[in-house]
Order: sequence, then C-alpha cells, then structure tokens
Amino acid sequence: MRNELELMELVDRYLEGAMDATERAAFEQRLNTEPQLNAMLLDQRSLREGLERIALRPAVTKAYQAHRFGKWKPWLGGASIVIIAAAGWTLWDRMPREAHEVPTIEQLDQLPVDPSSVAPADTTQRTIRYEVDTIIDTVYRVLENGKWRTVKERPAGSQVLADSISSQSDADAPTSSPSATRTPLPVRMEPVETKPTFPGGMGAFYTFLEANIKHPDLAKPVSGTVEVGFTISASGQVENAEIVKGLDPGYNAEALRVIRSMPRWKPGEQDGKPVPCRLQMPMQFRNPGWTRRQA
Amino acid sequence: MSDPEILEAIRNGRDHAAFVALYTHLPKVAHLVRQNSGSKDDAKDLFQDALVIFHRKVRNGDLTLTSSISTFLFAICRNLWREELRRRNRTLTNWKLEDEADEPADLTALLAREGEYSVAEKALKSLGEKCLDVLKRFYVLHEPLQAIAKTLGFAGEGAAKTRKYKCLEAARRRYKELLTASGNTIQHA
Repeated sequence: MRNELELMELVDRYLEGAMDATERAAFEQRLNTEPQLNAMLLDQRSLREGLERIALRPAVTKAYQAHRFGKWKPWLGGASIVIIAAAGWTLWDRMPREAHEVPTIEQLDQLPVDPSSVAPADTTQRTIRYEVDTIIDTVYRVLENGKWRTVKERPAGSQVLADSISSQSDADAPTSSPSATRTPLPVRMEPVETKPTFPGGMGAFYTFLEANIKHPDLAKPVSGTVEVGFTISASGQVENAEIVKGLDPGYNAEALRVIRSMPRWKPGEQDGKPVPCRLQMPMQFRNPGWTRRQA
Repeated sequence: MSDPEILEAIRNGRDHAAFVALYTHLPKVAHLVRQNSGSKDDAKDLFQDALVIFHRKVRNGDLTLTSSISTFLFAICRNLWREELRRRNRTLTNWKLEDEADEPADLTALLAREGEYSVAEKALKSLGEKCLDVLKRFYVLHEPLQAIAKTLGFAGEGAAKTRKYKCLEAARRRYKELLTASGNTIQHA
C-alpha cells in the first residue's frame, strides 16, 4: 500500500504540473514502459475531473433556479408581483369626479370642509375595504335633523367622520385616520350589504392576475407598488381603471392592461340593487433579479 | 452577456453569472430533446451536463471555439442526446440532422473523454459522504491535509493522507467497474 500511495501522489504531482522538466521526462519515460502506471494516470485524471464536475453541479443548479425565477418574472419571478390585499382594498361608490381629477378618499379627507355643503339629499358615498379576504362594506350616512340617513353619494368636499370602522382598522387605511384633531363632521361609514365579487371568488381573482400579468420591461426592472383603482359598474363591468399611485410607466401600463382585461364581476349590492363600487388595489412589483444582476 | 463576456466571467470565477447567462440557450436544446422523444427534465439534465463540460473546458483553457457558444452547447447536447437515445434503444425516426456540419471536428474525441469523466462522477457519488468530502477538499478546494484533518476530525495529517488514498482507491475501483459495465461506451450522468 505504501508503494501504491506513493505512486498515486506521483501521478497527482504530474497531473498538477508540479514536476520540473527532469522529473517530468523521467515520469513520461516510465509511462511508456509501465502500462499499469499509465492506466493509473488515466483513472486519476478522470476521477479528478469527476470531482471538479461534482463541485460544479450546485452552481449549475442554482443558476437554473435563478434562470427559472427570471423566466417567471411575470408572476413570482425575478420581478414578483405580490398582490397585497392586507393593505386594504378600498371600494367606494361612484365618487364625484371631474373628467381628469381622480380624488381618492384620502384626498377628499384633506379637502377643506364646508359644513353647508354636507348632505345634499341625493348624494351617497360607499366605501368598502378589503382586509385580506374579509371585505368590509360600508355606506356613507349623513346626519340630518339629528338622524342618521343613508345617502346615495358622498357629499362633495365632505369629510369622513372616524367611526366604528376606524376603531378596527389602522394607519394603513387612509379613511380612518384619527380624527381627534379634526372637527367631527356628520358623515360616516357603515357596513353595506353585498360586495362586488370576481367570478369564482377571490382565489380565482388571484389566479387570473397570476396568469395574466406579464413583466413589462425586462431591461428596466424596478421594485415598488402600483396602486390601481377601478370601478365595478352596476352591470359588473370594469370601468375607469386608473393609476392611483404609479411606478415606472411600463408597470403602470401593465397593471392597467390586466385590470381592464378582467371578465365581468358580480356587482356590489345595496338594498338588493346592484350599485357601482370602486376598488383600489396595491400591486407590489418586486425584483430580486435586478439586485442580483447589479451586484 | 455576450460570448466573450461569458468566457471572461468563467475565467474569473463568476460562475453563477455565467451559468445564468448560458441558460438562455436552454430552450433551443429543450426543443430538440422534446422533438426526439425526450422530456423537459431530460433536456434540463442534458443541458446541465453540457454546461459542466463547457465550463471545464474553458477553465482548463483547452477550448477553441470555432463558432458561438450556443452552437457549441447545442452540438454537445445533440450528440449526448443521440447517445442517450441509443442507450434507451429508441429509433431515431425524427432525428433532425440538418445542421450537423457546424460541429467541432474534435467533438467525438471530446465526448468520449467527457463520457469517462461522467462515469467517474458517478463512481465518486457512490462513495460515502465523508470520502467525497475529503477528496473534494483536497483536489478541488486544494486544502492542505493538515487543515482537512482538523476540519474533519482525523488524528493528523498522516491519517488524512491515508484516508484520501483509501477513498481515491475505492473510487477508482468503482470507476473501473462502471466502465466495464457500460461497455466503455459514452455515458453521461
């Protein structure tokens, strides 16, 4: 065994190119005359190469995962698009809106309030918030002659009174910011009857998004959130889709494209009648592939 | 990454970046394999073998690219897959032979050698985990025997040396067995 071990080390030295010219020549001379040694050399070369290959495998596999990850950028891939329902969906009924101006509830809440404008009889505002899978349906009510009355549209420029809903939600719901410093106004939100539903339910909705969102611009991956607002009309159609909070134009366009391509929803209902509701949905685009490539 | 950039990355040890870039050539290979009675996984395994071969050739500095990396990888895969099908006793009815003219001239010799390496890989994998660890540390990571002894809990340098010898000897025996079993034909892992 001693002898074998030494031979093995000799072969290693040869394969590593660790021999000087004289030693090398002598060794090659031996190879010619000793087939045993020659066979040993070939085997050892193969085994060493085999070891190198084994050592390479993990890198190859890891790269494959990165490759696949990148390939599925449309959904969870290099850019994953995570739909965060937890942050809250906001649905609200037909908001009074100008042709170009899209007021969110948050914006409305910040408008200066003119008490005289509160509660014209024919205005309602309904706000529905999704929290994970639980959707809180709300309706706007106004105080009229000491009585709470449901109204059809939110009064222009009115401010939402912090109410029962704000007590169970928190800072991420813009409509329910603490009102301690505000003058309480006679408009509040209350649960409504039926929320709009995607055909097949929320599971189907997420599946739909997964299947349809394509990564818009592979060359310029960014991370961030696009918030899309859209109205489900009384007939269930998607209307007035727009970007509430934008990211890169490519991502904005993709979010809008997918939202606009949705099938007809089952509309929300109030008092047994279908009513238009507005939804707001943050879509988070994440791009781990980007940082990797930059590194 | 362009071809020269990929070569540069491999030479500089940026394997991950290089491999990720190289995977862009996988679909072409997957198409070939699936056209010829293979599955998506077959294609992936085949392609990964080709990647390893390519990497080793670049690293050893004995790769002369007469055409693009893509062509080289594809030629390797095509040949490996043909062998694999032969082993599976499938007829090559659908075989697309058209652009085989672009194959590197020494491909057959190359693949014969690679076939042996791949048998060696199998033989080594059949060793115990500790054995493989010793050999990898010594031959791939070039750790000194003393350090290996310390990390793996051998009595000393001498013990590590003996262990290394025994493991390599066992691998060699297994390797020879496998070579005989496969009738010395080209195989890939």
